[in-house]
Amino acid sequence: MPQETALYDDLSARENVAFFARLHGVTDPRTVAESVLRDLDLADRFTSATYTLSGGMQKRVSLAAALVHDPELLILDEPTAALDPLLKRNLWKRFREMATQRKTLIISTHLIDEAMLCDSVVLLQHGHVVAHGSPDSLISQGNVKLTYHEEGTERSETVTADSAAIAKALHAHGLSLKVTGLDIQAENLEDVMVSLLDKKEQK
Amino acid sequence: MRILIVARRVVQQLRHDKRFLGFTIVVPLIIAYFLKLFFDTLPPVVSREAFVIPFTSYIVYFLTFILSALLLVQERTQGTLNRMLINGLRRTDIIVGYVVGYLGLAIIQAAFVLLEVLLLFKLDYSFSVILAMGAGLFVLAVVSVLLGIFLSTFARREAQVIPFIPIVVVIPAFLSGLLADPSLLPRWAEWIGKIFPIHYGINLAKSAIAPGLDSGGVWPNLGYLTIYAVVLVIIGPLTFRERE
Repeated sequence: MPQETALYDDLSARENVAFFARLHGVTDPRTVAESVLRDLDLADRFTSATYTLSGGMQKRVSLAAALVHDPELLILDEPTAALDPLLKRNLWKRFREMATQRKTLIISTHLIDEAMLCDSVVLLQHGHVVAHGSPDSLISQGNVKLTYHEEGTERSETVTADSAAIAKALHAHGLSLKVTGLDIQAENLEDVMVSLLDKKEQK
Repeated sequence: MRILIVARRVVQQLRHDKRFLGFTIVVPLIIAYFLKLFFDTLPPVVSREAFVIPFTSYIVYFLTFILSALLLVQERTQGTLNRMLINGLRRTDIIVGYVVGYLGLAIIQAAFVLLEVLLLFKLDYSFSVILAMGAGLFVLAVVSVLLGIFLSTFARREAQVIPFIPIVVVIPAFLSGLLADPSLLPRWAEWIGKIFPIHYGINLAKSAIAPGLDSGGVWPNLGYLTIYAVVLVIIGPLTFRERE
């Protein structure tokens, strides 16, 4: 699915989706188009000319056109750009459902909270892979800030975010009787990505 | 098969755009009426036929050209051209699909104008003459759609189609036989006139209405137009910036 809507303005939502269904030799393209549109909450918009639909609706029609032949692999270029938060959440719910049905989705995004929802994240810079892994494994490449509260004062240290390093730090400093409280603050994916990109730039 | 899917979509698009349809059907009829008014101001010695019949070809040529160029530039700006290619269509499928989809409209358009001109100017032709003219208009319409698609590859926005209009539409009016007899023009100007497909469309129309139907003039021109169409189908995909 391209970033721009890439639909025929004058055609109805159903005609647009059915056209792409026909290109893939889908049998009974009209009915299939209707069912995909219904899935995307566009049941009352089958016959509306695409140019009369709101931006979010057009985006969903465009997604329907990409989904209509039930592809094994789906490449989505910023699918939620300019969508309201509710719609965005629904779409991601649907992407997750598709992933559960063993479909492959490749999604480009600049939003870290969306990247967090993926099984695997690839961070690209100037066409090169900077980092690659599950969101959790990337976060574990970042740092954790441990803050010990001790009778009125506090002391903090930063360690790498893997469990061995944290355990070691806690063993060395955290087990003192003076420690009355402990804050563990891990970097989020965005922090990790920014520092990875920084490191890459400095090289 | 894929060609027919594209053609079907083009027809759907045309059907939805009522203004566009009105423009393509009604405007030529109005222009033809104005032509009648214009000829009424001329002395009766001026031959109506020699101008009026080629004019029908000319109208089909320039309207079809402009509208097909615009439709295709629209595909480009909306990103649908790329999307069709991503979805497995070949460039030739798209081009030929456009031609097939557009033909119905071009035939209706040509038939209406021809009918109006024949009635307004009280021209009476045999069936074979009308058949020759119809065949000529049909092939000319195909060539005009292809020419529009070809030139649209040099425009990124709709507005960039406009500079082509004086070149493709206005120049041939003077050099390709609509207003002047090309054989009386300087040699170089005559050759420029021959670049445009409408030159052969007009020649064909003139041969068709020549006394006794000059089939020796009809066939070669029909052939030239067909060659023109084949060449455009071949080079059209090559000039697409978008890749398959």
